[in-house]
Amino acid sequence: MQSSDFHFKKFVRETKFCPFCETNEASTPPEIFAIRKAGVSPPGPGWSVRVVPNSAPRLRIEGELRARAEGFHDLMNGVGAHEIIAETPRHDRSLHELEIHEISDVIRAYIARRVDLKGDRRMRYVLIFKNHGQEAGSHTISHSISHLMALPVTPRTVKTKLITARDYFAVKERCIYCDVLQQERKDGKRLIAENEDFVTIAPFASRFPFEMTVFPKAHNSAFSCMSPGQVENLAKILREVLQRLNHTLGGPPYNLLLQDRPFLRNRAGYWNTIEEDFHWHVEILPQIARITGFEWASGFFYNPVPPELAARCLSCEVGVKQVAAM
Amino acid sequence: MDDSFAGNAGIPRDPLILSTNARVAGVALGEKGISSQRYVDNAFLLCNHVKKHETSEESMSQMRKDVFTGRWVVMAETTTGAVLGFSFQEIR
Repeated sequence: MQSSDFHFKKFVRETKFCPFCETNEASTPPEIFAIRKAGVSPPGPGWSVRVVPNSAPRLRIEGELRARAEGFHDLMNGVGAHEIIAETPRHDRSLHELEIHEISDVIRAYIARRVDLKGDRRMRYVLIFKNHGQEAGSHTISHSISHLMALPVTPRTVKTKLITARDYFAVKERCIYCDVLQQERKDGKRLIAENEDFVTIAPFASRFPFEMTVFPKAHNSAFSCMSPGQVENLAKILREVLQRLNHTLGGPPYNLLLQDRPFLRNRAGYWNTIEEDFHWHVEILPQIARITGFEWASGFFYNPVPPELAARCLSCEVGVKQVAAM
Repeated sequence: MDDSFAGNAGIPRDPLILSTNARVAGVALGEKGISSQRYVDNAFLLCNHVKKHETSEESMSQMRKDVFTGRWVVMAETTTGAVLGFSFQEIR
């Protein structure tokens, strides 16, 4: 590992006018969904989470897909949904600084929007992700927000995971994620945090330094099928591991990605064991190392921090100073 | 002959390069009618030393395959405190 392996700017919150702050509701496109205090009506203040269409969407909800060929190439119109989830009415707090009930509200908003978009037959997959800090892709917004994108195709990254899980299940009749989790919990080398319903590990083949994955302990293929208790426990573990990340590295940029199953539609060639073979999870990817020509050329990643070491730091087993002295 | 076999100075630390060089050097010297066995022996001794002390499994980088995606990751060596400590302190 070399000192040049790490490169990031500490998260700095800008204080200029922000359309996602409470009382600035009129500055965003019309609200799609919000969680408000009882007796408070939209569209004004009094909300804890608020969902609005992205004012500069990458995909638009209007129109038909018109999937077609152009010679050898496949083509379709850029139809989809691109929504912004304001996680808090306050500009001065990040996700890891919110209370448990506030993070639970954010998760409830994710679920509500996913359930609603399932009704749109054009959509196959809902991506939910968060860009925290400039190196993670948040160039202009420092308010704590998440992105939701409904897509007319299942992303290749997700499809690769789905196919691997399907093939494993076909041979072993078990979920590959459940098997890996059982091994990781038994082994403990990469275990970072655990509560009643969730476990966080540093993946064996972590792509990024201090990468974490949060899994539900009980088998579950769909994020939206969580009980209220599980929502609260997910909020607890997310807060805990994000606080540890922040404490360990001093405010690093990161991406948070939900890896969920696609909408189950009756389609030719689609398998019917997804509910049994896939296991949803959340990936947290700190963006503190450079992506270079090696990664682009090979599709490999280079990680200067082995996950066993990252887990020791993030699990508070050893402090950074102790690691430095090892 | 590669100068690296003349003594400790300049000897490559990569055991693969070392062992390959030793074999090549041995053949080359043999062709010239010079007994190369001494050089080859020394090189392999060094090679084993490097393998044992500097490239043991604990300190080598690893290529790890992600079981869910098949993606390969090159993982840095689990290496010495001095370098590691510097990096951690720097990012703090």
